[in-house]
Amino acid sequence: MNPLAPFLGWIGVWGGEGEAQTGDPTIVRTEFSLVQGGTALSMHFEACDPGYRILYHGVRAILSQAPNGDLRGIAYSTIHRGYLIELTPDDEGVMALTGATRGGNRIFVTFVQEDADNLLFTASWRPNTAAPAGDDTPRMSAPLRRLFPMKFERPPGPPAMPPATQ
Amino acid sequence: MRSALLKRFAGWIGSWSGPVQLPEGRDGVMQLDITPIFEGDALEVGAIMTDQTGQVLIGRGIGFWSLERDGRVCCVMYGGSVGFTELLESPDDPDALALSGPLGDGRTLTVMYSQNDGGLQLTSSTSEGYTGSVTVRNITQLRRRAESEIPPL
Repeated sequence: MNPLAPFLGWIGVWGGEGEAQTGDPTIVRTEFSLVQGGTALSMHFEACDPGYRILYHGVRAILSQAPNGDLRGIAYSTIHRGYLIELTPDDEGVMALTGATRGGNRIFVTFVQEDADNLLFTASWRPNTAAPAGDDTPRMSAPLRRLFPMKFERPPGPPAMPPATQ
Repeated sequence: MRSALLKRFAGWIGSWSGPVQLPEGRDGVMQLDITPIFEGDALEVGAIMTDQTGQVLIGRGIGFWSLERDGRVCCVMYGGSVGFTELLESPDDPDALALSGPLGDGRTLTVMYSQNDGGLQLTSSTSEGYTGSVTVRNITQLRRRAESEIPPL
């Protein structure tokens, strides 16, 4: 089975209000899409202040199947710069990612699917040498809802094309 | 304000394509896209190679370029045939970018971009050990993709 298959249902745009690692309120926007000719999954993540003036944290990650069959990825973070990421085994409907940065930190990112249109996002990081994270470790978290286009009566468009003639 | 990364690679941003010969001798086409992300904090560099019909995907790779504290480019990347690795810039001439890093099997991957005659040449090779043999994977002369001239209606 293509290891990306469990996450193909997440393709789309997600948004929500949450809490940054500092405890400040944050607005999160995440987009999952297919790239590289449909062979890789891109995750673009932005956490901003509620006024949309400051990007607290931006992450772009690409997940793809490694030659040995495992799902791995590359990531760029506006805080941690570039690093490689691994998918850690977890329950169905969970994407748990971890990676070690060149700056000596370990990053943890988790998306939990609550239903078809709701994800719960959490992320934290700590120095590689620090003790494993506990429940009191500061983390960013946000419930994310799938963004749907607003339904409205469309304004009249151009006239329909005449039917093709033989 | 443009980032140092954007200032250095402003002339490379965009979409490039060109013929590529694969190690098996097959001819193909490479498309390379260099796109700034997060206001030029990093560049996303993605390549796909297809056969000449454009219908069969025969190779792919993608990476993020960013600057280290010492000004060198660091690239985290994935290649369909080589897997995942981190490449670091080796000093070269200012119009070129040479990146190299270890592959999981002990080989070293080197990717070289150089600007010439308005185009971009991309060479990638693998080597074994410090004195081992070098295998050139591909050399591609890329041209900036241009919109075709569509006559006005």
